[in-house]
Amino acid sequence: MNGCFFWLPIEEDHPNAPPIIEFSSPEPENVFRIDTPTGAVAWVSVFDPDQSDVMEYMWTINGLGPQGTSQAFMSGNYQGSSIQLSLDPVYNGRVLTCTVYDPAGASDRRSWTIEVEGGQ
Amino acid sequence: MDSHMAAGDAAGPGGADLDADANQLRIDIIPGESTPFLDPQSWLVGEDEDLGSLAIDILPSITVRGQLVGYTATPYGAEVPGADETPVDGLVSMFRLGTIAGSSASTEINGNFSLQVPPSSGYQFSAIPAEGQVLPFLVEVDTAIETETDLGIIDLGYGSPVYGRVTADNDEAVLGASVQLQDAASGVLGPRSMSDENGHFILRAKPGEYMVVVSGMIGQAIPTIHTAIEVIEDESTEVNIELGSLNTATVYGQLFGPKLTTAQRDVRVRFSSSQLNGSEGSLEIETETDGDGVFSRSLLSGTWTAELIPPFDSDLAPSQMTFTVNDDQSMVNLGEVPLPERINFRSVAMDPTGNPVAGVAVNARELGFDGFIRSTTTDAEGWFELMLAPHPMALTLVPPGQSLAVTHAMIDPVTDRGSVAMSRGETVEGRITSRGIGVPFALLEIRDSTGLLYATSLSDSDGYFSVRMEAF
Repeated sequence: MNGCFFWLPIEEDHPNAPPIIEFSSPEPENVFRIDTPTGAVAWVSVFDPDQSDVMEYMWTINGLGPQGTSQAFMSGNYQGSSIQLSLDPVYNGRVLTCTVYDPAGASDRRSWTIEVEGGQ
Repeated sequence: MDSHMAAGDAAGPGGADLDADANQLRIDIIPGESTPFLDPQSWLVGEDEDLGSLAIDILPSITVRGQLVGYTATPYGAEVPGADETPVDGLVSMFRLGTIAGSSASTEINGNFSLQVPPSSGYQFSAIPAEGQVLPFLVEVDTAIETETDLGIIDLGYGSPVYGRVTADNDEAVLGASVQLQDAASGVLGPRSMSDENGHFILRAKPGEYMVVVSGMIGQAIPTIHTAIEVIEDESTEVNIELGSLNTATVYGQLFGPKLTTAQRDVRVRFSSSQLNGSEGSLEIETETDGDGVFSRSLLSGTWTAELIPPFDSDLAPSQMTFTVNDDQSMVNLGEVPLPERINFRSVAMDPTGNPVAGVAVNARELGFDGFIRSTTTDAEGWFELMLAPHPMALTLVPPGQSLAVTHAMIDPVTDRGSVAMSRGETVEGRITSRGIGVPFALLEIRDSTGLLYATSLSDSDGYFSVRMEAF
């Protein structure tokens, strides 16, 4: 038989697909407003085309570095992360960014400008 | 107002009324970009409501507007001193107590304000003049907002004067102490005044019961002291505050990694007084280590706790130490302090039958310090690994499916090994709608009255949600 057959290596046959932030609060490019005594919650839900990937979430605020009050969640076919920020004037005018990574290092991100109103 | 779905005893907007004496379940709803016209709000679960068939109807926010005015002794352009109903620069707020619903806004130059809040009862309204204005402030509780509302002109009036002197040892006047009134019932703080070079201050208040709160500005070694008073209409109230001795000692030290090898910069050092020698008050002061790992702060004499908190992305863990500053000390050297490393905690999530569970979201929250949370997900064999501080942690395991409950556990990464058992729990499910239409892809956080998070869920494309959680 002429010709030859060969199989692509798995990673080329099924290249890693980056995660996609599908839904969020606030909306993309919107302002994250903190104006209640309990602070405010921002969240993202992620669609993973590879389905079985374990996601890592990094929430950062410019000038303040990585933030430590986020929690991962699972809900049906969705997974995501939420973060609660307190009513603290230090956040006003800064940018909150959520970056989600899959095990291969592919990522997606969303950012919001923070507005803090009042103090109580 | 449009009708809304109700369950149990026909709850109104926002569900049941707040029961301050009970541990009440509440569902915080944070709508996503699919429904930009809806704001975060809470549904309080009634005592007899069926957790297996919750019918939660939430409403778009409505506008509450008005104009804030008050008296000013130096009005611009007036022919005689003093003018009533002058626009007031201030902050107007409306919060539904015990929930996440509400908002606040600064008044405009003409005193007008506009708030957007979800319709509900149980709102607390407050109007607080901006700093520097000697005006009373207003707090009203148990306000129902169900339709667009124009509160009209809100006149803060004159109030009655509350005045006095802030002094330290030997009747020495204290300059620059912060003095505020706090409404005794609600805890709302009024505008801030500063004591002058003679220690004098003056505030104004409507009749009622208050606390006079004296404190220092950020970084000042002035203890926080609360003094109860009652303000009577058309009567002035004198209250003098004695802070005790304000002599301080410089407390310093240097922070390193383990084995005292590398100096650590940007470590937050939070000093909290347990007992002050010269005062009944309390004090909390923060600082950060510099590039050489050195920290230094002036503290009053007494017993103190120092929390040493590295940044979230550090390999090091927070630590704590107690120390004493004696009256006769001017310097206290806490020495070279090593911070512990985070340790590798590895465990497996198991279901009640002893089988490992894959795809579980694991959140480990530090108890105390800054309450940092570290997250990961169990692998195909149910194992997970986290780098944790060597202190007790609150663990939350969120299963991927509907057969297991969101499970809470306390662990000690130093001594605990083996497995973490998940429970079956009970199902909390229902539908979120807005005017009868399902609210898609909204985040739900199920909490108790203290704010403790029990479970998180996301509504589906039709607004339905379902999550298992441990028995409440």
